[in-house]
Amino acid sequence: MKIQRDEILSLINQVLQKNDKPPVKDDTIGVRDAGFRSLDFSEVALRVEDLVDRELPFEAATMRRIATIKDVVDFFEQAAGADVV
Amino acid sequence: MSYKQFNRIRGLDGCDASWAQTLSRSETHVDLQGLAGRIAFVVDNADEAVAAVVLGLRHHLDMGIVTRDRLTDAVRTALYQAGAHLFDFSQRVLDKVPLTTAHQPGRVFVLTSGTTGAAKLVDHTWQTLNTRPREKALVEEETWFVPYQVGSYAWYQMICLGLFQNGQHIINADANDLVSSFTRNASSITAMSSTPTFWRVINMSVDEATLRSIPIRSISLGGEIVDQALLDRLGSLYPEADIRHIYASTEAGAAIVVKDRRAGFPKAFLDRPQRSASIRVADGRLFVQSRFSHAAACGRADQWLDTGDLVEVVDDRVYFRGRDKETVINVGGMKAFPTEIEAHLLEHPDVLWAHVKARRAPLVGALPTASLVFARPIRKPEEVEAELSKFLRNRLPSHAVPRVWEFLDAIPVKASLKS
Repeated sequence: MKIQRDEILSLINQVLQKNDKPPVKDDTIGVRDAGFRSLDFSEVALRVEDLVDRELPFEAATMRRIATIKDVVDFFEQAAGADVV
Repeated sequence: MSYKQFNRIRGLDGCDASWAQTLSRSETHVDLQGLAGRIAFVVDNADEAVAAVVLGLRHHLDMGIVTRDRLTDAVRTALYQAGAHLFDFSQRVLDKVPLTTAHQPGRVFVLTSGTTGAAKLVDHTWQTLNTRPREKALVEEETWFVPYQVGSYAWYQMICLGLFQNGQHIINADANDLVSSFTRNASSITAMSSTPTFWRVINMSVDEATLRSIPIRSISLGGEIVDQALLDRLGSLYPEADIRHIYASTEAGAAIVVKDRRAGFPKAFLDRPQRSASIRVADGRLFVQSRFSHAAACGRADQWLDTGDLVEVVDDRVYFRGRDKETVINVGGMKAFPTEIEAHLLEHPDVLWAHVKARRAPLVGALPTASLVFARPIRKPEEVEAELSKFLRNRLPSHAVPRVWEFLDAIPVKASLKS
């Protein structure tokens, strides 16, 4: 099963809102400004893994480039082999 | 114990000061006349902590360090029961307790949550915290970045290195932003001791060019199981560095040092009489006898300690396989306790049964996950999840709040009638 970009953003927003942080409207916002912490990233990773029903590859060089929420979406899209909508 | 007055500490403002200068400032800041009995210095950051440490060492205080963010009711109770007066380092306010214990100059407590989740004070001395003498003298001057939680056993070990070993300098880390703190000081760091998780985060947060430019010569890893992939990565980044992983804990002290860049440790270490620590395996568990242990600090250096760590001997190597029972989940180097989380969940009026376990997760190594059975039909799962998360956030540190939830229709009962 593949996952769409809007599903990934929706997961990110669910995690943010569950932790009393506002949802992201503009995905160019920085992860730090959005309050998206390493624990949140790890949670989204597990949720994406559950959706695609397999463990995702995590490549350090790609993760290092993550600065914005859009980068997070790009990362999971690529890691999960998602279709671009 | 005498200390190396001219070793330096870099503060959070980026300025260097010697231990002698730090002591002088502390003595000016604090009225020593009022510091009688057992003192718990309450500090806001690493700068205050090192100032309190050198003051306590120089004046033979019976002391320990507690960061303000750890000063929960449970910790206050543990300190109170141990007869420790709280001294607010920045405000210079002493909160005396009526219950006092015998004053022991030179005693140092380490506040730990151990494997049970309950706050407790583990007694040490500067001698048992200073674990370096058993190794070869450090010939190179080194500047150590210290990312450990202030007041933890690992933090004291690093501070003792700076206090007692010639030419060993310390960089205090900003606990609020460790990665930025690391990057800001990257060009000065020649040595670092940290958990594997910290290196994984650094690997993912700092660009390759900066990583390779760090003049690091000595890397120590501990606090978690060290995997071969990380050892290989560090070996590739710093081919000339001395890379070692160390088995140490608050209770067992420092016991095993592995320098061959391989995961696990050589089987030859078992039952081999050593100058400061001996180790053995029985029933797949690791036992340690160390002169740096808590038992040694209490005059029982020959006591064998059951570490609760499971090990497996494969050919000529002994590998760590986790903890006996799942008493602790290691979330990025921070402890979360399933039984404690379950106990809080069961306080919620809708929860009938709860089981918390670890799930492997990127970046932080593991996250707690919860399986629940409710006393009555639930509303939307996402609403329940948000409510329970909020419920737990008021009771537990954020890393201990389960991140993935499973809602079951019935309590799963095994043949043993256990769940």
